[in-house]
Amino acid sequence: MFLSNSSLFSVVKAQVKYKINAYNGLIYSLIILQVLGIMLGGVAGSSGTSINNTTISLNTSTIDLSFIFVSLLAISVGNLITTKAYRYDDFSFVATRLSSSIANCIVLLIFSCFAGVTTYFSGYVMRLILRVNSSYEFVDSPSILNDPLSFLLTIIAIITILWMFSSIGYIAGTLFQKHKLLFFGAVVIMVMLLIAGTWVRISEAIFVENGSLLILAMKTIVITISLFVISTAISKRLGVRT
Amino acid sequence: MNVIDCQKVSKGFRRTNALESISFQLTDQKITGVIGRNGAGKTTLLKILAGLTKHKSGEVNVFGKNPYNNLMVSANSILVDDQMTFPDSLTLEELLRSAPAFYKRWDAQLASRLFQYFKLDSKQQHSKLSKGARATFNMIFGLSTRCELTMFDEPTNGMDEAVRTDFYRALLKDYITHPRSILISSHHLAEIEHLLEDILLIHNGNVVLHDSIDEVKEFAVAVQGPIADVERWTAGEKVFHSKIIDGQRLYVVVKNNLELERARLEGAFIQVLSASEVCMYVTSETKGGIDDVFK
Repeated sequence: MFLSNSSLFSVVKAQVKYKINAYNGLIYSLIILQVLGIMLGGVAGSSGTSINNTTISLNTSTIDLSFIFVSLLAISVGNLITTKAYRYDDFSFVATRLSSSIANCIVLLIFSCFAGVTTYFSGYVMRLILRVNSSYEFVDSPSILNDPLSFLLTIIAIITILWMFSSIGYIAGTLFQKHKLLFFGAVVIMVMLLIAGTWVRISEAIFVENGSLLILAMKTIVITISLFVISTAISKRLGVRT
Repeated sequence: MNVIDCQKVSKGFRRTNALESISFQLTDQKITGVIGRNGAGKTTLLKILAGLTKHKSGEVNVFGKNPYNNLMVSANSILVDDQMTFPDSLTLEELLRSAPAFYKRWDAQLASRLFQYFKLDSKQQHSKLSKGARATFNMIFGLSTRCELTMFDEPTNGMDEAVRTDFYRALLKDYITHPRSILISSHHLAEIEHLLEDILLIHNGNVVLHDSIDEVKEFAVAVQGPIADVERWTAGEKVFHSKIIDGQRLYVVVKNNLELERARLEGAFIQVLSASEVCMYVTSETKGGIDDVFK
């Protein structure tokens, strides 16, 4: 009898490669959402005033909307890959629940990187389009060239926040797969926290009171990894092909 | 070393007990048929052995390890069944190309030869295949992994007659060149009898028989003769099946024993049964047959 030995690392690596291949169709959803974000976000806010015979109107364009769309996508993708169809696919090849979870976590990070970078740069696409398509006078916000470090930090912050959103979708999906009641229980607790206002205080502590974007990114990474660890622990007893 | 070692394994679902207490050992390099009626627990047993579901109590060892969440067992075993799924974003060709990264002993040549022989479309998606073609693809996948423990759960479901015959032939040929432990579950024992070395007969979540195919054949015999005589010959024996023929003669299936030799001398007609008949009668729960329903 000849038994081949696979290390966790090699299996996770194979799974990550395989999953990225298998899920790359998600890029289309991402592009559609970003285009939608650019189109709708081109005139995010406008204000106007008129003095004597001069009218001044001020239009602000941001990629906030793109970011919101992509965040929603991150939540739904995180949730999607916990569903039976995706979970069972893993077990047609070599897999354990642990290797599967680690691979999912890494794949979501890779997708978040891709989504984060493209979302950030979709802002530049928007600047280009606006410049070509409108007759307004432009007042640019600082760009990469003015401050490369802050640009890097912004991208890192976007990536970690997207990754965190995907982990929220992932833990919600895992709870739902484990038992529907668990999921609804978690939702009820969330809503109660929201009503009590605790949620606002927690979010403030995490997301608002930060000295720099780097600290925000660190906090986000810690939250994300904790969510993935909890999800992995929950998914340890999920059956396959039952 | 035993490939599989099960001790008093049980598994229950909400209301039913799928496995009551399964104990058996499987030695290296054999083709074993897992036989049983509908709902006997064959599928549940194979899923536990493949590490897909967790057993409730008892001890399961595959290659000396508990298969649940074990990477080594997963790397060296595969369960092929009709619930196998693959992502739709990959074509069949891409699926076969992703396999070597997972299975160290993947035989790409065998996979592509079988793939061509069965005329599967390499650009097709797994879920779009017909039932028979999907079963064929799963079978190709399972054989090509060359896993030390290869399990097939009702592999021929949906395949047509010609493909079934080819499948059994391919399985046997591949087994001869690369001996390994193969488990096939089926309720069509007659169809796979020629492949098997051993039979593991499961009934109501228990192992009823685990023997070589010849010994299973000899486990029970049919005795036929006048009613009174047959009742005398088989008195005190465990009767698996009995039916009255023509109102005068009795046909019973009993456990084989030496006493029957005497009955033969007294004029009993003793008939050897095929392995599939033995399995059917041993696991039948009613004394009469379907005819009694219509009386």
